[in-house]
Amino acid sequence: MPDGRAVDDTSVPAVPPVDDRRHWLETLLAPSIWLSHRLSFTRKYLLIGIVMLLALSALTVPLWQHVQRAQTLAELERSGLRGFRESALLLSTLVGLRDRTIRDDPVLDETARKAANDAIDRLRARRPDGVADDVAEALATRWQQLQGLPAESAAPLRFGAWNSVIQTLLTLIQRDAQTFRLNVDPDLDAVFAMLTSRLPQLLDTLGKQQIAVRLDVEDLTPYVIGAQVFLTESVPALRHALSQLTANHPAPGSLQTGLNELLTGIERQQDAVDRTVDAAARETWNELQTLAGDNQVLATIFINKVADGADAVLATRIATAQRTQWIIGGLLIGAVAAIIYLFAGIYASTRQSLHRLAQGTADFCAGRLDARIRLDTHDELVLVARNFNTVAEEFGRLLDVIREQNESRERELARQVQARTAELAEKNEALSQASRRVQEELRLARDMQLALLPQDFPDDPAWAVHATMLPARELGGDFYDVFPLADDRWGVLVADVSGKGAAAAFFMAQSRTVLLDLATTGLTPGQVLAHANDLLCQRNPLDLFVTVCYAVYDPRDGSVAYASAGHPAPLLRTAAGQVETLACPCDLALAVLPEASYRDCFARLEPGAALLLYTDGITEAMAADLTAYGDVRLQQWFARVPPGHPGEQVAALVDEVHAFVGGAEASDDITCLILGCKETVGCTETVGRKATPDPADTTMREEIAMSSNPPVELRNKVLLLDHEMPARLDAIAPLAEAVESVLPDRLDLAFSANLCLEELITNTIQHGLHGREDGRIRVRISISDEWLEIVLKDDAPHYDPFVEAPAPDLDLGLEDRPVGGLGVHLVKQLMDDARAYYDGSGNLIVLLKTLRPAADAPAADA
Amino acid sequence: MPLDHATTLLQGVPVHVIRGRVDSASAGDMEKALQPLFAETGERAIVDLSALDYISSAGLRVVLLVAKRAKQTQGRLMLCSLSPQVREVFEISGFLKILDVAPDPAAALAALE
Repeated sequence: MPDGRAVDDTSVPAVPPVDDRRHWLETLLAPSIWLSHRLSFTRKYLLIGIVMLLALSALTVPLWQHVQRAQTLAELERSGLRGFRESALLLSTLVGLRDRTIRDDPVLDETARKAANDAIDRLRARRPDGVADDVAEALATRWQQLQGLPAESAAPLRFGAWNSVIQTLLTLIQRDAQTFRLNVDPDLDAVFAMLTSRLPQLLDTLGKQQIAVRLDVEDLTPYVIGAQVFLTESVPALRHALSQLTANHPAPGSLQTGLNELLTGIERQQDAVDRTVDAAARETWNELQTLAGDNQVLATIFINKVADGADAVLATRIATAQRTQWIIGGLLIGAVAAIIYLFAGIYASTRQSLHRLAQGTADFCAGRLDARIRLDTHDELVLVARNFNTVAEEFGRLLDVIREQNESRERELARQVQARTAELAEKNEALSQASRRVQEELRLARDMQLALLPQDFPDDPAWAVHATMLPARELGGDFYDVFPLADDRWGVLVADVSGKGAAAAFFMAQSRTVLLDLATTGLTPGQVLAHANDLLCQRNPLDLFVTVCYAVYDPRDGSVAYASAGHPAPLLRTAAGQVETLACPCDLALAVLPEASYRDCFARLEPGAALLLYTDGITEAMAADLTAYGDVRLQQWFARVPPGHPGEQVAALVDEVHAFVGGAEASDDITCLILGCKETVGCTETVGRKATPDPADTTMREEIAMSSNPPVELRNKVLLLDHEMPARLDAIAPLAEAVESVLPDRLDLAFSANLCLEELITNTIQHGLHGREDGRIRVRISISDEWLEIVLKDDAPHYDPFVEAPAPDLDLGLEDRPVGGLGVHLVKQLMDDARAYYDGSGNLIVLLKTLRPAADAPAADA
Repeated sequence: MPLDHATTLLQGVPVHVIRGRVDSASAGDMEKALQPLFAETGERAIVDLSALDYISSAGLRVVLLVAKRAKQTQGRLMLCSLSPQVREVFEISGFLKILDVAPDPAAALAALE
């Protein structure tokens, strides 16, 4: 298709798309393709070979059968020809015998008669199927009838009987020619027609003519002439038949000679007949008789020669057919062998190529990247191998590039690492020097800080004091002091600065100086704390604060006046070993809020009694399993410690706490101070807060009762709930359900617990985490015989809601009341005790609520 | 149980019934429910807390806001039917001194008349 036309007429594609043609072809070949896809190469070749063998066989077998049929037919004809020879011999014999019989030759040739008899018997017996042959039977019957004729019978009668026998034999010969299919042979039909029809009749006619001439009867002259007409008319047919025989088959010259002689004889006979008709000469008549006899002999000889020629032709034909069969068989075997050989070669070559391809790719996949495929063939697999080799080459080149890049990157990395290492070593050295310097300075600071704390304690016969401070790190934030006041009174204090380190140490030194200065002016503890608070608030750039418990002891009457600024309440142990937490308003820590006020509280030390001031480093000392030493253990220890010198007791407490903590690292400074009143000196008998100096001040007494620590002894404590939740508002409702489920009989308690938990968790989320949502909160609720304990642990930065939240003013009117700020107030009011701790990993809030029924609770009375 | 809010009329005075829990998470819903109250001058309303299971400071804040709005618009707000626990929370917060509380809706209505 010219391209120009496709370009000119762009709307109609001039060339059918290649895809369409391919599609059409693929549709046509689909079954074959389907089959091919499912066969291995071996089976494909096998299939094609089998199909070709079948095709060859289908072509060859009919040919073979055709040749076989031709051979069988020729053999049948040959056997027919053999039978004909016998019949022709019999005919010749019979014609001769008839002649002698008519001549009344007394000497009958008995040998010939016997031969004829045997020949007829053989003809009868020749039927191989045993079926009676009516023609042969008729021949035998007529032969018997002829034999049965008396010798003296009339000549015409005998002649007729002989004719009957010979005529039957002629019929038999023609019938046999049909039986053995001699008449349908395409090449020799004229020859066989001459042999089986014309020549026997000619022989018979010659015989009869001879007899007619010999009888020399006038009446028979027309017969003689008629017979001659038949003989002469036979000449062309005989010539034609012989020409057929000699045309396609080389015939011996004697055959032609025999015919010529016979024909010459017949011509001479014709001449004789012609002359007889003209001259009616007796000599001519005799000559005709002789000629007829001679011609009989010639005809018999010719019959035999023609039969020999036809037999030779048939033999040649059989031999040719056999040869053809051999050729066909040889060709078939040769073709099969050639196909098998060719296919085997193609298969072996393809298989070798495929094997090399598979081996090469397998080697490559197994990691031998230098594997290449070499194919010496000229088929399409070479392309595959070439493509594979190209890919492998490219792959190898790519690998080299990558390897080169990696090596250069590694070299660069190694160089950088070396440079960084050197740099780091330098910096480490500098850091190490700086660290040594800092350590040295810290050591000096620590020595100096410890030097600030008194190491010599008063040891009066009636009373004694001892204290110790063990810093958790180099510099502590705790401190204590013992100093004499006017009127023989003594001041003792224990304090805890928020935070640790250098800032806390400085703040501690400043606080100590301020407190000491104020204490010696004779102010009450509450006033001292209030003034100190004001002074510290003025210069507090780091917003630190300090909790203090300051007590003034009067050895004369054993009275103790004390005040606390956010510090754990002092413990008092009576001579009987009863431990009491002294009432303590738990006011704000120093340096938090200017102009805060601190209340004075009072107690009295009986002889044998002891006062313990301590910091939360003791109660919050953590064992390895994260349990804190706690108030309860401290109280129990204080109750059982044997009376003795405060110095021994302080050492015993330190050992106790160390034993509890085990090997765990101390998280906070440990400070404690014990003031002991010795047994030998009598003291007044009033005890504790009953010895309030101004009993009329009922407000203060209630306040003290409200804020005093409950006698915390959690007997038979059982953990009810251990709930961990994300620090999110929507996690509060599931917590509330959990709390209600563990307190089904005390929904009033559950209500209070949930309210406090919600307020504290909301506080933590808003103020501790500042809205961060990744915090976790753990809530544990335990119940003992008398108390419900709620422990709330978060992972927020240090935040103490009870210190930092200002108390609301409940007396304001509706319009002036601020919206909010009630949460912590509600917690403080609903719970009997609420404390917050910080352990470095988060805030720990411990709430205690009495189990007294709601009806007995003072809040519910309203 | 989540927060639920319904309004009925008692002799012409709307009674808002708050059911369920009012905590930090659901206080917003309560605020939204009581938002239409005291939009105009001199409105009267009763808030029935008989079915209130729980209230925390977040809920108290909403109540206080509504009460302040009532005061500003010269309206009257009555709370009624406080359960003992809820009443304790109100008392601790000092709310009983600044809010009008009645034992039941009828008493609240009478107080409004």
